Amino acid sequence: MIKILATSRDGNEVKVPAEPTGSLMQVLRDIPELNVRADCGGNAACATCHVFIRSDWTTVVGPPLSDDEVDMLDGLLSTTAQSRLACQVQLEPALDGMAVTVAPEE
Amino acid sequence: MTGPRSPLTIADIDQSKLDPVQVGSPEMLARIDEIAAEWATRDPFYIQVDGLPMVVVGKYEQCREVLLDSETYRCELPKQEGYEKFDKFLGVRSLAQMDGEDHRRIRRLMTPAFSPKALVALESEAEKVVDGLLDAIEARGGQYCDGVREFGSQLLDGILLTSMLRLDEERKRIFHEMHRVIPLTAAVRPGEPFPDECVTAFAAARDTINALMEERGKNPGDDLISTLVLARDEGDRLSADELFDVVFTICVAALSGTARTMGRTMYGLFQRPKVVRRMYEQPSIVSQAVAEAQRMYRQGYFMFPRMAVRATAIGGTPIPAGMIVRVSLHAASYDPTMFPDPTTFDIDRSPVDWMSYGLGEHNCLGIRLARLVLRVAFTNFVRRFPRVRLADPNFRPAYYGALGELRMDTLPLSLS
Repeated sequence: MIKILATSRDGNEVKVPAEPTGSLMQVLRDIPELNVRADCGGNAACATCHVFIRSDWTTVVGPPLSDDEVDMLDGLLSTTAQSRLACQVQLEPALDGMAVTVAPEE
Repeated sequence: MTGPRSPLTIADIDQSKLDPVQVGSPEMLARIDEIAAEWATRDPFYIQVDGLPMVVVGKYEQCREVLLDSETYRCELPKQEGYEKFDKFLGVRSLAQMDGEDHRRIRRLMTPAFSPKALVALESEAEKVVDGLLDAIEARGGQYCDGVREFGSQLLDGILLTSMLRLDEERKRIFHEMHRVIPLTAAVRPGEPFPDECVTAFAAARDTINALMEERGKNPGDDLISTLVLARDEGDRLSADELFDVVFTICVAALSGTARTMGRTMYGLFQRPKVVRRMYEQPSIVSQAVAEAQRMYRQGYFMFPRMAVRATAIGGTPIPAGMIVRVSLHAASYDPTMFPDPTTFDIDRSPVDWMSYGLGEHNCLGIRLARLVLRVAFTNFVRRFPRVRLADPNFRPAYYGALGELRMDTLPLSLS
């Protein structure tokens, strides 16, 4: 198990235990107070799982890799250098302790 | 896609799970919200429509299972005898009836036109259209109005056809006529042709869209059609046929889906003066109130049909390969395991709308546009007419429409 430190839109921090498999979205979606909708189910097609990766973790997580993710982030108003779609972040042991903040709903 | 050699028949299913409900009958539609609440507690069951058996899925988690499994449940249905009523757009390939890479590609090309950035400019246009309609209602005396005829259906005319597509009055009339005839496709029986007025209206819409694409291709403007004509992705672009299908789909989805949503949402909200009062005093809760109204008063009782491409089962109900699957998000939104006390209208629910615009790769592309329009429409309506309520508290809409739709023709409102 690894732990993800997730901050909700209203600033509440939640420590989320997770298996180091699957996507970050699948873990965040199951925490009601985080209110991560993930409407498209993980296809990088809705941007409702947009998160900001805390800056000390961006290098570990890496930048968006697919054109779909880049295009979706380009269309948002709140995108920053820390932005990722949680459905496109694959969990792995190296992400133990990663800190993310759920982006505003757009 | 390759479908079954012939549609399934009643002999292919366990008839003990066959519900005798006459789907789409006036009796059923009159009780549709009660029926949806009942379906929310049942495992999948079969219905029969013009001889064709289908399975209805209504529990929240079971709906979710279908929507997220696009390998088993496909949206493209066979174009063959027996399936005519599902071809409600007369051969147009809508995004909602495509699968796999075809679907992903078209959606990718359409997405930028509906992104939050693209919609920023639309908010002020939406404000203007909404305020213009409210001005007109006020100019007619401001005591009473018909929420559907004078506001809900006019709203999309103004925002979609005028502001987003920049259509003139004659072209708007052609799109309205196309929208009007769609329910007639629901009455087409297996092997029968589509009614002449459907064929004529769709042909006129096709000619109009083709002319618009040519005009906007030569002289692009700031409208949605120009954006789609110019849409490219790594050298990929929409072909003329694809562009036609996309424009058609947007018009139908917005005109039909959002007009239905407006009617049902007004009905849900304006029968509750205390909720209206709260929306007036605290405009920041308008989106929550709209979401709760959409949960209880969804604009249709079935989503687009899907077909199981392999034999499977949900909740103990066998689903043979080739069976039409009707997901009812209307039912799912009454599932007590997700929404405690589901028949109580409670705008403080959280979350209230996790699947209100679908889920999975076919989730509604226009979700942000729809939410923007609804937020502006209800914020400004209630600000202008804070005492709005049903003219007759016992009014019950007479719903009609294509299979799965809940269209309303009228909603008499008292404003003062």
